[in-house]
Amino acid sequence: MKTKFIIFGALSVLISFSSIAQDRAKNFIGFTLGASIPTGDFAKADVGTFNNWNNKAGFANTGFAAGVEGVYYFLPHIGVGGTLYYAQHGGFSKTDAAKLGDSYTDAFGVDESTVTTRGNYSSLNLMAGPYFSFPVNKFTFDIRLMCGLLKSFSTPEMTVQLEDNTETPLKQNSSTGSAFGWQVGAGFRYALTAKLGLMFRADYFSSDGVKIENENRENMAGRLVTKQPMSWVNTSVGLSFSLGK
Amino acid sequence: MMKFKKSLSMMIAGGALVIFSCNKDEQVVAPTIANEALTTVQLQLTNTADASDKPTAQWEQLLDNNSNPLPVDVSQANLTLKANATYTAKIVLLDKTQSPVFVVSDEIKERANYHLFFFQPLPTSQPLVIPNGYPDDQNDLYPEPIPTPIPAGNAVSLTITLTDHDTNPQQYPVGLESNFVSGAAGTGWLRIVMRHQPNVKNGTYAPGSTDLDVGFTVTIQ
Repeated sequence: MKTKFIIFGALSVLISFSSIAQDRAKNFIGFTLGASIPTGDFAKADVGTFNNWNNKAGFANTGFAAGVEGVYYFLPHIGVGGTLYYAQHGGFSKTDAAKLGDSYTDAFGVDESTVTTRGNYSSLNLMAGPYFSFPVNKFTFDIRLMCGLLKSFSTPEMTVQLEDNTETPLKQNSSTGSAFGWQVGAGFRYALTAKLGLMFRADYFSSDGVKIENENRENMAGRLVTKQPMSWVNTSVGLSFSLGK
Repeated sequence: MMKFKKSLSMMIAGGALVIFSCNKDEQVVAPTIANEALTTVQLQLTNTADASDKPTAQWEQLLDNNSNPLPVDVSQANLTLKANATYTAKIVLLDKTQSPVFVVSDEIKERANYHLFFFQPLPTSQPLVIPNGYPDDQNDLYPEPIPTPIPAGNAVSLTITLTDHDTNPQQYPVGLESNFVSGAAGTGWLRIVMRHQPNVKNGTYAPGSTDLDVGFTVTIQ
């Protein structure tokens, strides 16, 4: 439903702008930086309930995304472009660690569990796809649909010690896996000079996520994350540099 | 233009703040909220060849108003079986400190992946399934009504096989359900221990701790 809404919205904007666009869009490269806001399962901080554990909640917090993008226009308003950006999102908070601790204490019926968490989500994302751009006076409005690869550099780690069992603590390891992802976004550029412009972007990214490795899971009990779905909204600003005449 | 620059600066500053604020290590100790009391253990058997033969036995230790244990009640901890018979057996664990009575064995079934029952007929000519350190350890006494030490005598002819399994990949046995196969007539005892083995259950007795240790007299006739 959400995907249909996004596509419908994007098409509506595209049709509206195509009727008022004046000039041919110029090839450009741009650099952006902004907030990256987790959504869906990635943002959830819900451990679930006994024997119905939430194995997809990512506990991700708002972070940032920084990257570069470039577009080559082969038609006046249609081009092919790509973006390479680094994204980072916060991992488990102390409140999250307490929730996880309560869940493992309950799941294994122990007197106490000690949960240690560290690290965050960081990834490099390479996306490519069509751009639809419509220059109107000093503004150029852009819509883009892309797909590509997410390469994880890290995901949050967690260690759970059940009571006094120090020999086989449960471990959720950091992942450096890769996954397919897609992204849809819109934005505009404002020309400061003939070559230089300011960029504003909003993009939605989604991926089934990377594989998560676990250690010392001798018995099946408690929350167990084996694959972490990821999705976020990037809102960014940046500078664009027009290429050619 | 000034507004654009200000927005850009704020975004960069915000991004930097996020970078330096989300790498903290956290450690939390989460204690349990409450535990059930295991006050009552019932054995419910059914003869596979005679459905009207349904022996039962009960071991009970209630708590006083201050949650201190009262003397063990073994007046019904007597299991009488027919010789050379096969019984299906079920263990029911109750918490009679709660109202209505809480059926702990239902919870054990949900938590079967790290619980395991052990059954020890006594006397036995086989190696002990449930270790006993007496007399080296003078405090390692058998639960009532089993005497410590076990008097010399013929081994009680009773073989117990666990029939239920957990959902671990290895499908370890649990012991809430089992088969009792009796042999020749005789008397003895049956010790039952439930081991709590959180994330260390491997089908053996050693890992974990004991949640339940009870005894019954056994008469095979």
